[in-house]
Formats: sequence, C-alpha cells, structure tokens
Amino acid sequence: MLLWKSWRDLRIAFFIGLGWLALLAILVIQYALRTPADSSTIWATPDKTFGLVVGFVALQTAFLTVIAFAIGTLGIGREIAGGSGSFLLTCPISRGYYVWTEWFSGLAALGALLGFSIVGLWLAIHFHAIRLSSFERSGNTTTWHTWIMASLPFGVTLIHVLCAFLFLALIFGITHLGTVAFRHATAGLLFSIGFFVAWLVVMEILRHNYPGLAPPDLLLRPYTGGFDHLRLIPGFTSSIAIRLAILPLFPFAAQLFLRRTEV
Amino acid sequence: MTELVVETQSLVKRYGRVAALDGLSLAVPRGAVYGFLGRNGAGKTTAIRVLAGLARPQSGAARVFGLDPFHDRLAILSRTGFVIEKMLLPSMTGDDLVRFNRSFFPAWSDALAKKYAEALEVPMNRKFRRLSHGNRTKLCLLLALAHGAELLVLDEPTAGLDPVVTDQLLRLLIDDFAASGRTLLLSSHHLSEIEKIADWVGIIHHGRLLLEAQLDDIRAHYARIRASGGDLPRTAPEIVTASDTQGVSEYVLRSGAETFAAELRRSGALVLDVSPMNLSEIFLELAGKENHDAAVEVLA
Repeated sequence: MLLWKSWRDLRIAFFIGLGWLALLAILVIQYALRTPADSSTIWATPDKTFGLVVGFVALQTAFLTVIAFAIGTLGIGREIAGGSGSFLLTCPISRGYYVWTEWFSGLAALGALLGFSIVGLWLAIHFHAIRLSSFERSGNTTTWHTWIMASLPFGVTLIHVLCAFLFLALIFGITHLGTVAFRHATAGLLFSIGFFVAWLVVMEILRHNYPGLAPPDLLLRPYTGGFDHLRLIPGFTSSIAIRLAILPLFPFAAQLFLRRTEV
Repeated sequence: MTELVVETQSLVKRYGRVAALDGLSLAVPRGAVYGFLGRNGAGKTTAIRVLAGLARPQSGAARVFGLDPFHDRLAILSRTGFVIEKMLLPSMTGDDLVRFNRSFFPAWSDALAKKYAEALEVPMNRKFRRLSHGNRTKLCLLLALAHGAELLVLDEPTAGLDPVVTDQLLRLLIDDFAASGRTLLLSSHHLSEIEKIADWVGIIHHGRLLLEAQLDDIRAHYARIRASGGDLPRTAPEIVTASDTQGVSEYVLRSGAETFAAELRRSGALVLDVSPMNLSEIFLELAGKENHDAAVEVLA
C-alpha cells in the first residue's frame, strides 16, 4: 500500500514528464520522417546522428532534472510538514520502509521516463534508417552501410541514458534526503539546489586553482572525441561504480534522520 | 494485582528550557476508560506522543502493554489506535484511506469500517481535505476503531465538535469499544464529558500528575472543609490541598472528611461546612491555581 501511496504522490509529476517526452519524441520522429535522405541532412551520417542523439538526451535530461527535483520533495518529509506525520508514523510500519519505498518509487519513475525517451529516440532512428535503406535501393549515392551506422547510436544512447539516470537519481536522492531531514518540501528543494550550486562553485575554484586536477563531473559525460573516434572517458566504469555505491547512501541517511525525528 | 496497559514513571520531556513533562507517572489499568485531564499546555499531548513513540523522553520510562514505545514501536502500534492530530492524507478520500490503512493491520475489519462510516455519516467518497472538522475527526476515529485495537489513545477527540457529534462519538466509544473490555485513554479539558464516560481520571498540570483516581472514589470520598480558628493543622495524610484566606482555612481531603472535621472541632476550630466535591471542583482546585507543591494523589 505504501507503493500505491507513493505512486499517487508522484503520478502528476510523472505524467507531466511523460507528456514532455512524448512531445519531444513526436517532434524528432516527424523530423526524421520528413528529412530527405541525402548527405546534406543531419541524419545523413552516423556522426551527425550521434550528435543529434547526444543533444536529444541532454534536452530530455534538462527537463527531467526539474521532475527529479519535484519527485524528491514528495513523501514522508512533506507529509510531516503538512501535519500527517502523527497518522503515518503511528501505522505499524518501520520508518525505514517509508524512506526506501519512496526512494525506489522515485527511481522507478525516473527510470521509466528515461525508458520512454529511449523508445522515442529509437523509433526516430529506426524510421529514418528505413528511409535511408530505400534511398540506397533506388541507386543513389548513400551506401547501405549508413543504415547499419545509423543503428549504432542505440548502444551509445544507452550509455548516455545510464549517465543521465545516475545524474537524475543523484538529484532525486539529495532532494528526498533534504525533505526528510528538514521535514519540509521547500527546505528540501533549497537544500538540494544549494548542494549543486555549492558543488559547481567548488569545482570551478578547484579547476581554476589546480588546472591539472580533474574533479568529478556531476553530469558524467561518458564519451570524448567525435563519432568516428568515439571512446569512453578514462575511468568511466569506476565513475559509474562510485555513483552506484553513493546513491543508496541518501536513503540510508534519510532513514537515520527519520528514525530520530520527533513529531 | 491490576494489569496495567499503559504505565509511565517519572517521564521528563523538555523542549529547550520548557519542561513539557516534568516527572509524569501514570498508570492505566486494562479495561479502564481513563480520562486524562489537564489545561491547555499541561503536557497531555506530549505524554501521548511519547506513548506513540513519536517523541523520546529525556528521562523516565514509558510502557504500553509492557513494551517500550520507542524500541517496540511496531508491536505497540499494531495493537493500539492513536488519534493525535486530526490530519490524515489530504488528497485521499475516506475510501482511499480505508484501503491504505487496512493493509497494515491484520485484524482490520471492512465490515466495522463500513458500519462506523454509516453510523457516523462520514462521506467516504470525499477527499479528506474537503471534509469538515467534525467529519475529519470521525474519519480518524473510524480508522482507529476498524483495525481492532486493544487500546485506543485519543488526544482531545471532541475538541471543536458540536454537541450532537460529540454525543455520537462518545456513545460509540463507550458502547462499541469500551463495552467489550478494551482500554480507552482519552485526553480532554472538557470535564463534563470525562465525568460522563470515564471510570479513571488523571489530572496533569505543568507536566506532572496531580491526581490519579477512580471516579467513583472521587465522588465518594473527596470533600471540602472550611473552618476557622486558631492554630489549625496544615499537613495530614488525607489533605490534598490546604489554604488560608482571611482567617478561614479551606481543606480538600481525599478521604475521612467527617473524622477530620471532628478533629478540627476537638482542637477548638469552628467548622463552617463540609461538602462533597465533584470532578470539576477538584480539577479547578488542583489545576486552576498555580499550585506547584501539590503532591501526587493516587487512589487505587
């Protein structure tokens, strides 16, 4: 039932996110279908397609960041601020269960949204690949290996989406922790925004003062180089592993705060 | 020996420099309808929060069913219905709240929930945030009652309700809940309601329990004596409070009023009157004055 409650809490933010992704996907698919299959278009080469994929994921991530902040402010912290704390915390459920259910629900919602975004992008690439294929069959200059190369960014997209997911999960986790710790949605949001602003400022200061230093990038851009000589950034796997290890620390901390919370 | 369902010993809970509970010791026997009386800010809600595991005392001990409210929270909560703030989940309807709540309580009864919803005329399809104050209180009570609690702890359940709704709720609590031998602890500052339904009474003032007694004992034994004379006694085991105004001494006695009056007469005092006291008079005597030195009275 807590899952059901969590879903009720976050469904509006989820559907807003879904609506935006659907709109974006429709626009990209329309563009892919209408663009002539020749070398002058953005879809004509894998390199250009790759650029479009990166831009598309970045645009989605930027919007989903807002959704991640919003979902983070929902849940038990906000309920306590609203006066429902004594009701919820006198149900025979452990306080940790609230935190973990909300955390998993939030991540599942963000993951589902990103999943939808992949589907939209994949459809766009797929439709265009079919067009390229028929263009080649009609005897024009585009070679058929373009079709294969156009499909390749799907794997690349997955990596980008994974990085985007970890970034969104970080935002969600910190906002959720702030909301539980301060027992107030706005305070949680400000805590989270403050954290990210402070992070950016500190990183800029470090970069300025120690040019040789490579401080961790919050956005985790996975690739360097163009599509032709695309390669993962050094230490990419360990960066992913560290993020995966850090993420559960936020609900752990939130759980500790909630255990000590007096209502 | 009577089994205690709720017991606290020397509970202290401070918020900053303010002591909300200042050595509270109370004992609620199984099957009692216990009226927890006190003025606003006396510490009733804080005590209930401690029992629910929502607040942790700085010192002292609390036990519900013999269990610690903080460490054995889930075991206590599965057997107890707490109604503290009358605020549930604003975006849910009554039906949603029933659906939400029933999954947590193995002894939940949909039939009871339906029965109480009909009896109390709660609009179950309306969102909680759109309910009136009275309906909110009824819905809170409905949820607490339908999970088959052995103990019901209600904080000011009738505050802000009209007399009809108040009567409905009290009737339900007595006829449906307490009549089956279950324990009811309710805080209030409405003396008439408590006097109507309670069999035990505890009076809290400034975080301390000033009186804990069976209501029948209070009715039978508590008395006020006014006397004038020379050197009258100020302390005796049966004296609850003693005051002196313009040569007239006034005593509140927990028992033995006639014997005490006879002793006063023997010592040369003029006994002006001996009158029995009701709950309101005792409450006003104990909590109506800034009487910090009143000793805790326990009549078992």
